[in-house]
Amino acid sequence: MKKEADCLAKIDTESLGKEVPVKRIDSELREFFASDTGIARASLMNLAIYSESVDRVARNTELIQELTREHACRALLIVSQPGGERAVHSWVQAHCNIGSGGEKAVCSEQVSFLLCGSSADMVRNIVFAHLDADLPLIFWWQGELSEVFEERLYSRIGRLIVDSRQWADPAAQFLRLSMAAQSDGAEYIVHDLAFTQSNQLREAVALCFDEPAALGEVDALSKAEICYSSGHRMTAVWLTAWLANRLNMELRPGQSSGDVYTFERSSGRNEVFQISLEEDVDPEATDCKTPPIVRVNLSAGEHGGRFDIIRSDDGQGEAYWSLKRAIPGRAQTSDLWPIRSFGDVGLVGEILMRAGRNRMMDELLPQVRALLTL
Amino acid sequence: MDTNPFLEEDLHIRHRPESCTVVIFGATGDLTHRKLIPALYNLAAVGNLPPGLKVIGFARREKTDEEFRDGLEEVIREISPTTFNEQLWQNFSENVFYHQSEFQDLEGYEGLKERLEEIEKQGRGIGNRLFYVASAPGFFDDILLHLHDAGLNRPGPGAGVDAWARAVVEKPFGTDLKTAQHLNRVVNNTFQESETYRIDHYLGKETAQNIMVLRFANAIFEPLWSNQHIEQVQITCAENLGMEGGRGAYYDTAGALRDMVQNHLLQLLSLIAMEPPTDLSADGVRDEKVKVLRSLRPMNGAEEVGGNVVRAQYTAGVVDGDEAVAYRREDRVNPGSMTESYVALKIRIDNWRWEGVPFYVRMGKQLPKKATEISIHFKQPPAVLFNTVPESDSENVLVIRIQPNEGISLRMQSKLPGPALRMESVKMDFQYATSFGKGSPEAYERLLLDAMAGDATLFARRDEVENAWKFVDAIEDAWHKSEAPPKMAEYPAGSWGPQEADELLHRDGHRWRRL
Ligand SMILES: NC(=O)c1ccc[n+]([C@@H]2O[C@H](COP(=O)([O-])OP(=O)(O)OC[C@H]3O[C@@H](n4cnc5c(N)ncnc54)[C@H](OP(=O)(O)O)[C@@H]3O)[C@@H](O)[C@H]2O)c1
Repeated sequence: MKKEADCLAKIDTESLGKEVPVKRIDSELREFFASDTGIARASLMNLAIYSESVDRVARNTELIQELTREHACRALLIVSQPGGERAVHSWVQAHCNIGSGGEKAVCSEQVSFLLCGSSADMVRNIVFAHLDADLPLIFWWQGELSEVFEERLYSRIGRLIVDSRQWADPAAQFLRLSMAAQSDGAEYIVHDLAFTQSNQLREAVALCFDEPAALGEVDALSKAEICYSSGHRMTAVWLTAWLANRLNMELRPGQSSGDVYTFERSSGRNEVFQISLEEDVDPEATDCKTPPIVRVNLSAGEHGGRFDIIRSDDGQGEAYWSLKRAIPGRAQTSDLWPIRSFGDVGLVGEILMRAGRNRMMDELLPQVRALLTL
Repeated sequence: MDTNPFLEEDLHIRHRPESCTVVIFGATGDLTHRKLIPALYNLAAVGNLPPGLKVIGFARREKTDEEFRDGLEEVIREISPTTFNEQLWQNFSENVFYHQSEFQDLEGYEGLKERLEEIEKQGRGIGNRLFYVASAPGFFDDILLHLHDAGLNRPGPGAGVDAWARAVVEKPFGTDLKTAQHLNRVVNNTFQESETYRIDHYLGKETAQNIMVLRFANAIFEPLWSNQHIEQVQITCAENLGMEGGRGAYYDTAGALRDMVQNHLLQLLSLIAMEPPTDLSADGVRDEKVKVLRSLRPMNGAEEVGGNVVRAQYTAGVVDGDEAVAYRREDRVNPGSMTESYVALKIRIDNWRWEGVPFYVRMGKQLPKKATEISIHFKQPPAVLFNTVPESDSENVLVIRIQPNEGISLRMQSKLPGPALRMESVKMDFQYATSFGKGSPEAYERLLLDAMAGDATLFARRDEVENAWKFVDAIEDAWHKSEAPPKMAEYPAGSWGPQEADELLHRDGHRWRRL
């Protein structure tokens, strides 16, 4: 059996604030807010970040600090170490920002837990006992889904955020998610950051066809090319599933392989629609400047319209989406707008910002699983 | 294909309107530079503007397109230095043009027509046109008549059946019922009512829009929202400014009642008092609002006005630590002026829901702070249980703060800790900025997009404007046309208004809420 002390020794606790016994968490927070009249507590939700990786502690605290600037919440950071001797450590701290009125600092609290020998029960009984009552729980699961992800845990969640970019075997993980979604207790909505980071691009595709002349070309579309940056293939797969969904297309598994997918259109002038994925191998590309998808082209055969969404640079470090529409018999038109941040804070922020059910991912999941098994 | 299959409801916060050309009359003015162009540019920068939108500025002085763009750029750089982006501006301003002409000159409109058609051809040729009348009200007639005569009240040539031409008209919309009716006739001679958008930028504010959400999306308020449970309602709009920057010239011809109450405050009042609309369509909402305006109990004659309305001017005083001169000593104000810088009204709404509930509305310049708030004061519970006479400031109050510091608060009674039963008021407070980190978007961004999208919900309809003027005119007449007009009260600049306004409420056993 692993010693509890070993479990604690592995994490860097410096960024976590003040260590307090679990039973003192609430009183410690109360004292903090009572100690200074220049601060106000704000909370619209519970945001839990769950990670089984010991090296993410400081980075996750930074993420919480950045997220609380725009999304007041009670943040719960859970560092989980399944297996070994059971023990719990906890810490509290607050992240304060000067409000737009200027007179008071607005603070969100962060409660951090180290769960040694963790299990779904521990998360439920210890961590969930510290939720802000009546407010929704958004649960960001980092990394692979482990055995801790089970009904007793997910039945409490309102929104589940996962990141398929980090998964070694997305097909297996999505299968697990689908099975969980079918179980009785699950009422959560899933968000995959790999899908969320296509939000702006999907808006751009919609924008291509926002005018009548372009709309007339939709029926004739027969081909799409998606070029993705290294590490972002999942986003390209999501985008493929989305195009198929929007155009009401059926996959022809026999005629699809690797990175070229063939679909059948039940409506439209062309029966067959082909989507090809290509990895961008730009040696200049760096993580922070390259968007997950660098180019999408949609076209309607040799004599039809062509729509290109390409990332472009102004040479001064700003990146833009440049959108070009070429419709036969009409002057080419273009639009330009800045690429939104696709860092984790930006992506999670987008999920937190959008109210409503956001069921699109649920709808696409079966198609994504089909594409992943080819 | 009729609808864009790629639009996702959850993703697109709103549908992007169809492309159009926006023509702004009075384009070298303050409103265009400080509000309209920054709003359009901000919308473009986040991808919310329809692709291919063009803007044509129309004004008197000689300018090239380049000079016009440079002037706009200078102001945008100044007002949003951190968000200004060279490339985006470049991209946006390529679509901005200038057309020089006098408002009174028909030839100028014919020239505009040619220019417009040429620009439409270069662009996507959709032919939708939005004419934004941002001139002084004295020119509305000329502009609208000439638009009509030049045949500009129609979509561009070759446009589809769904194409449109619309007019957006700035405030003030008339100075009384007669001028408003005249203007309405002129506008509706040129554009149909459904293509006419009268701006009331208060309605573009998030908190004003939130009134409907608060009332109709929460089950706990609507059952209490009537004379059974509400004692009184107060609407306050306080400003801590006087007549700086030459404002006196216009203000002295208008006054607090016409400048703020006729439009903004009566609009807020109708949102608070209206019945639930059958749907959220523009006319569904406006039908209910206009019913409120039609139910305002008219004030007939000087005596009734004197008993229900207090008008006042500020005398010298201190505001925010600075010396302030009296209203009549202000720059460009007539020294013998009889224009009110403050007005307080007790308004009755003659319908079943509000019978017996006074709506107190006040607006003033040079008050101690800037604030627009609505407060709903609930009836006191029967005193039998706690055996105490309720204190006057112990009733439940729901406050909707429109600006600044937008939010909602609710005052309740709570027991003070200790062996005795003592009660104290406590406040539950919700602040937008605290909870939603992000600031509210500028009202003009929302309103411009709505006008392009053909959504008139947040614009005043003809009958709303006319009914509001009808109510206000009776008061103006009593002040300025009667033989024994109610007196003009006074208040020192930096105070909360004249004593007479306090007395107006004392008579009913009420008092103004302390802000
Ligand atoms: N400013 C605001 O924040 C604000 C807010 C709410 C409502 N409004 C309303 O918006 C309207 C415009 O306000 P503003 O502050 O922008 O006014 P402004 O700064 O005085 O601008 C007036 C504009 O009208 C043009 N103009 C005047 N006479 C003309 C003529 N005979 N022919 C052609 N153009 C002529 C001027 O052009 P030249 O400069 O070339 O002479 C200028 O572009 C007013 O109705 C006002 O009540 C303004």
